[in-house]
Amino acid sequence: MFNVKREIMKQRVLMLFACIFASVTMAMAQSSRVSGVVVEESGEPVIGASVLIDGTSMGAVTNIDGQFVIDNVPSTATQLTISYVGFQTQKVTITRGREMRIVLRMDAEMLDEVMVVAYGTTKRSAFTGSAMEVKTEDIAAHVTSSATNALVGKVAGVQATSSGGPGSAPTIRIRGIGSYAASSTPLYIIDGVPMDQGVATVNPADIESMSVLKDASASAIYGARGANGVVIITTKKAKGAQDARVTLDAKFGSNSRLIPQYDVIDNPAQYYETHYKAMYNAIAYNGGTPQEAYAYADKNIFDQNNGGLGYQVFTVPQGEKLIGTNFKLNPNATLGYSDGEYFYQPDDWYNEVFHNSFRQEYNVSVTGGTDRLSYFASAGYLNDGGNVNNSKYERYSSRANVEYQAKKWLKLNTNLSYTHTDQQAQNSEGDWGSSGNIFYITNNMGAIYPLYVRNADGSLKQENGRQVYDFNQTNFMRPSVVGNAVRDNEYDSRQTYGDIFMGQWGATVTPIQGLDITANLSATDINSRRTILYSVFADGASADGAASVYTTRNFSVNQQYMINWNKTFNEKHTVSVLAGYEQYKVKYSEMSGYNDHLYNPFVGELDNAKGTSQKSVGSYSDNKMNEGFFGRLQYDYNSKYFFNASIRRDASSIFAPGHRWGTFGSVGAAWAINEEAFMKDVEWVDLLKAKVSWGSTGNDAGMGWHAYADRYTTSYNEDAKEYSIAMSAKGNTDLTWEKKKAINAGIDFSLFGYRLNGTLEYYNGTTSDLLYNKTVPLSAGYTVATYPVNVGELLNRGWELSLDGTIIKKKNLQWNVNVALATNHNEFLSLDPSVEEVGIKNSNRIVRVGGSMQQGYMVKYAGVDPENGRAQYYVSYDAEGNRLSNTYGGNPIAKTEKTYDITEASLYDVGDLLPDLQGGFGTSVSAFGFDLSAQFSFSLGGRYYDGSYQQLMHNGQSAGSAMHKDLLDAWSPENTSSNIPRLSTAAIDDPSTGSQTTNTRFLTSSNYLELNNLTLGYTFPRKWTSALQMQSVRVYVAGENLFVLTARKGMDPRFNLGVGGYTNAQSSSYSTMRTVTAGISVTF
Amino acid sequence: MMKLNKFFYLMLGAAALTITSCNDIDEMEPESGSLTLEQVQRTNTELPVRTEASFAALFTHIFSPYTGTSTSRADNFGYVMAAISLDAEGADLFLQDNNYNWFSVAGELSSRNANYANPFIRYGVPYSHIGKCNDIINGFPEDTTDPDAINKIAQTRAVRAYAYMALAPYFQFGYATAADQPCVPLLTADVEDVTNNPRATVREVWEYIMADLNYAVEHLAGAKRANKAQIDQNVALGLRARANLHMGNWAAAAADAAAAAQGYEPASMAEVSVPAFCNLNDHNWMWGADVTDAYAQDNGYKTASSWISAFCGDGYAAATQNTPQINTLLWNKIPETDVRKGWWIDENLHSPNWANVTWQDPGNGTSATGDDIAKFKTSDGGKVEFLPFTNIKFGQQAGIGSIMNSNDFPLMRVEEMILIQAEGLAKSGNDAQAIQVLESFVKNYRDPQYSVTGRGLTLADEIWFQRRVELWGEGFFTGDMKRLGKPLVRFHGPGTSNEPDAFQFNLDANDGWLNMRFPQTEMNNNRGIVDNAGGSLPVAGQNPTLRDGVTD
Repeated sequence: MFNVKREIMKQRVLMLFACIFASVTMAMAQSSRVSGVVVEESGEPVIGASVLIDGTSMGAVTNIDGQFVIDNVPSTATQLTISYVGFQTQKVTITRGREMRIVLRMDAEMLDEVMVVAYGTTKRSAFTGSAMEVKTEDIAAHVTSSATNALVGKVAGVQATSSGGPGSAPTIRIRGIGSYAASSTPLYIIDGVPMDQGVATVNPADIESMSVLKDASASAIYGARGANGVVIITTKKAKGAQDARVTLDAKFGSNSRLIPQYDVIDNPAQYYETHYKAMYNAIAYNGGTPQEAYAYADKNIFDQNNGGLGYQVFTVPQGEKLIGTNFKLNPNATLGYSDGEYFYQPDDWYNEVFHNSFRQEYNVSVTGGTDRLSYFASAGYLNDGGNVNNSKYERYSSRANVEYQAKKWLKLNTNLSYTHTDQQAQNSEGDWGSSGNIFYITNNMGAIYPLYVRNADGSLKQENGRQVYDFNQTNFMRPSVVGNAVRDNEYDSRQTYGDIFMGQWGATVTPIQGLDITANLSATDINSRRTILYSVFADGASADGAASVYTTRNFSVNQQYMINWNKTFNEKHTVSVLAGYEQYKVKYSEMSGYNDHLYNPFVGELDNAKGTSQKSVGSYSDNKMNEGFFGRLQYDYNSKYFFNASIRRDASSIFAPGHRWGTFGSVGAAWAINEEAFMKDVEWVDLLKAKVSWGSTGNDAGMGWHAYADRYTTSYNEDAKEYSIAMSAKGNTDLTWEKKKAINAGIDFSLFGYRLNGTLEYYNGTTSDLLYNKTVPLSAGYTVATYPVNVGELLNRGWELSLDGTIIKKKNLQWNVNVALATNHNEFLSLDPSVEEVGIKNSNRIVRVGGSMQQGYMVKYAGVDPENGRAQYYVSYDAEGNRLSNTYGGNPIAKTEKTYDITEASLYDVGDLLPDLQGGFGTSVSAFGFDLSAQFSFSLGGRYYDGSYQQLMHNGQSAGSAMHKDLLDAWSPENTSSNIPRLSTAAIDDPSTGSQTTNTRFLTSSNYLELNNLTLGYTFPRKWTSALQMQSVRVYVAGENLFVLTARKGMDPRFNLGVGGYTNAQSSSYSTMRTVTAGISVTF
Repeated sequence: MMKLNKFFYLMLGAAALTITSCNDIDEMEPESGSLTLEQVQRTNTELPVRTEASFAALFTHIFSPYTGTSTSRADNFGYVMAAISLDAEGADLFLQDNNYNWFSVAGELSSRNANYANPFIRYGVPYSHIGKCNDIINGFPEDTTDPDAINKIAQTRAVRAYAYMALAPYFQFGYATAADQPCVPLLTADVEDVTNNPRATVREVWEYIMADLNYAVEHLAGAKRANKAQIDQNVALGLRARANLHMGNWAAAAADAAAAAQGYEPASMAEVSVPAFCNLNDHNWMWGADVTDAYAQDNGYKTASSWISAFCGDGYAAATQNTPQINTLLWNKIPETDVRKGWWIDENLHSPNWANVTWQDPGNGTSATGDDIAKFKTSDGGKVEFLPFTNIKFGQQAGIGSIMNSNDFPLMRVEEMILIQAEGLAKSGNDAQAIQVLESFVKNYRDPQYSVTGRGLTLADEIWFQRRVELWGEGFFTGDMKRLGKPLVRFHGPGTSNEPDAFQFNLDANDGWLNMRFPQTEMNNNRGIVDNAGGSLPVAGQNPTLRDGVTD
């Protein structure tokens, strides 16, 4: 291989000499010489274009300035042929005696992108559906562990939630939320095979392209699994015969928190003052005298069991109070308090816990091929650090894609990939209210609490060399949060190893030209093993250390058999027919074990666990299968009119026999207007295509694997020697597919020599037979409160616009911009007759005809009563004076009043919370070797339920929990215009936090603008790098998730796509990470 | 292109093979984890003994998490959770006013909020139980003569009565004053539309209960049950005694209670002068929730051990000072000579009842015995300092400090039967007999110095006092208060009670707030429901002058 490369090098050096030679000869101009310059439409010189005198073998290659000179041209010669890759070959008449100027046009065929679509590829100009492809360059610009980040803001109609910790990928929704209770996750296909592994396990550096199939006609051929759109990931392969290219890429950088902490009270004095006032108010405003109120607050401020805070961290002179009657800290108080045994001072948990971490990534790949064999091989290593201790994601990935034309009629391909992941994660991540959740407690810890235990002299307490954390073992106790999750995170260990093997073997037989018979077999084996060590130095003490081991295996086999026939008749009629069968089978198995009493405190394996009474083991397996027959017909008349139709007959084992099979299909048509005669002279239009399509797809995901069946769990009582069985889920044998029917209509265009490309589309799709879990009255006596049914219709419609333009294109300067805009209207068209009138109500949203999936339904805040500072809510009554708990779908409202009692308040439909407009925009500039690109995303017009803020606005009700600074502005007799209710610890003054009631006070604009990516790179000049035998060297710095502007500091409206509630887990979860890296990329 | 035929046929053959095997799709079954109905039926056909399992589930339901809401909630453990809630809503038992206390909604009586999980679970558990009972009863031919079937029907009907009795007293005032007021919906065979099933009256509900219990008592005669988690005639009689007590059928209550108690002896002074009340095998237990080790391993925090025992090494209460405590208004009334005084540690953290109890911390090998346990802290914070008046009535079955939360929970004890008998006799005009029954029990088993008149209470109030002490923590307070028409009295003015300040309030006996509210889900889906109204969330310090006759 090395020899081959040297040879090529030699050739290149020779060519450079040739150029120099050419310019030298030009100085000695003679007659019968033909000379000129070859330029692009932009006027930029074309270097290396070949110029041939027709009818001879004479010619030249353009030099660095695009110039060429040919001497001794016979006078008989009249024409030149100029060709260059990517441009249309041109013939021009020779003009002698003066410099010719030849303008080359971009080759439309080349610019008409080939896109990956279902079971094949198509040209953008021939495609009748809606899809958008993101190429490797766009993916490479993002320095994240998951390639799907590249879709955000770039593909109109793709909506994503924020991703969390290392190794996580954002949740993607395509064209709104298509399902009620079933899954709305798109189908991921990798190299033609449904993907079982998470997208984050696929190395983005291996990805050639990601196609997002948005409309039903594009995804209908995936039948039952296409309803939520399809993301097709295609990995890299060599493009025919080419010399081997070796690419090395190395990045180093740092991860940090993108979303800051909310503005919480971080001053311990202020924290005590605020809580003291809340305790005082609880009595003073509920019938007590000021004296009683002060006495109550003084008595209980440090009593964690009486609504107080537990800890004293200020020293006050003997006999004096911490807080004065003016609600201010005693001026004689000093921070820090010793009770003789311990010294107490607050720690900044947030700063102690969150930190930046190192990220590194290395990728190497080789790609090359001969006329019969092509290959791509890669290896990658990623170490993505988290922003708390003992949090990381390591990924070792490798891939080999080989294609071999064994015979003229036989092509074989094999794609093998293996990924090993090594992840350390946090306990209870995402668990709202869990003391074991380091994120929850750190974000919600009041400003006065120590993280560490200190000796009486103030020094940090150590025990056998280990830091001692405060878990309520000192002489004070917190009023909330047991143990110490920071300690547990330090000493415990949660390690998950994953091994993902995916093998694909395919053979294509071509018995006659145009007929391909393909068989593809693929197997995906995902094994994971998680070990948890509950340390004897942390939360495992009472068990004397414990170990939990958990393994999973997900083995799936996918088989595809296809016949594809292509034929062009009379050079005008092109027909393509596809027929196939596909089967997917998966077996999932789990095994877990637990035991305690670890001899060695550092090893979380079962053989190290010597206990007997708590020992437990368990395992189970489950099976699922889908299969389907499919066919597609495509017809193309003279590249002007395009028609296609597809059909799939699909079955899913999730439904009962008799309800398993469904039929899905699509039809589509497109008209390439620019190919019409009347457009011939409109040269600035390269492509103008109108398209319309209709398709139907299904959805079976998200209801469990046996949704049709009543399911039971069993137990055994060893003492009584007795089994028992209880229903755990109620099934429905009539359950069947959720069906989506959608149309898509739009225009694709390319203008000004493909300088401006765009798509404008309208879509309108209805999901019918919605899968949802029907609630039954509790008094109906079911063991389970819900069971699945098919009912109702959900509409999604909207407009999408994608634009991609090259504003400047010069030799040393190019400037591109892109814009993606999408609207989505989501609405229920019908529901089960039993709930058609009244809707399906939750305490935060309602599902009703005419409403959206995210239709807010909650208590309405009526502001603060300026007289007394109490929070008020609306309550409505019917004509007979009965209080309406629900204002939707019952008796009409006759009267509406305000009430202080949140439990009396009525629930109201407060409208659709989904955004009006979503999208993104980006730009890239390259000049003189530098390249700079930025990609933004945004959302406008929606609302987000900020439960984490509600929790911080507890008015003293959640003693010991962090308080938002906004509470400093709470109502008081001196501040009667405040919209924040009076501070109070009394249950009757609950500002909706004690009762965790969802109410409109915490609905916040979800508008945001995020800078998803910013990259600055420099590619060294070729002449420098070629001296080092390198094709190219690029260095860059890149930032991912650099900033997000939202309505409130700390709030992340991208955390979920819908209505949240008080227990919204935003502050309980890993928040999105900002990544800044520097890297170098070298190609040989 | 020529030799292709072979290959082509090979491929077609392979494809055909796959296609023919496509009946596989009907064989996709779970392999444990959960069983489908079909698998259950197949199992029952081939191994008929397994049919017993759905009957046995009636009794695990009693302490199992309710599947209508998150089963991982720490307060989701069936009737046992309801028992703790009902006592925490009362006057004698409290947990702390801190944020670890999952029962604080009971303490502050905000459990009337239609969206709260606590009242939701307390409503959902009995109804899902009733549904199971109906399924089992309907599974037998109506005219069956098979004695085994009849036994199961009888037990099931007793369970169904038990379920309704967990609802009826709390959604309306007592039978004596509110017999014709709306109570809760009845799920009878006559209900055509479960989405429009209005509340039956108190009388109708209790008559339905009584019909079930009469059947059970009649058909369980002479039958032996498989274990003490199940129901025999004694238990059925005990349940009917409770029902009669509620309905004011005093003589019948006394008779049933006396019959129910046959064969049982109360726990001796020695037996209850140590932490106890956690083992189904205790001879004084007539019926109980049988929590297995396997269950405890999976549901450690959702257990009686975790919430009501002081000696649990890995639970909620002991780690957060929430081990239920007694209100000093009641405790002060217990004489020193009563062995039950030691069921709670005093203000100096002393109790004679744990003198020989030792807690060892496996984390660092330290240990404490007797009163030293109070201040003892384990190295992972699983046990922190106990507060004065913390109960040590309930032990830890798996051993002091054990992390195996397998405590059983008493559902019926012979002591309760004796107290019902006494009350029934007293209220049916047989004071002398009542006094004799009461004195004989308390003197022999609890307080050798006992005299009925020792406290100067009326006989009725004295009996209630005995119930409040003896049955503390077992879920009887609220039901008693309501059937007796008593106010809720937690304090007698500032500084008179050790309840958390925010929980110090009293409610009048006819305060509408004493009635539960229906869960939002029920109202959203059953349009027949008209909710309870009246009263408002109590505030600290309200009604300081109310008295209940016992703790005055």
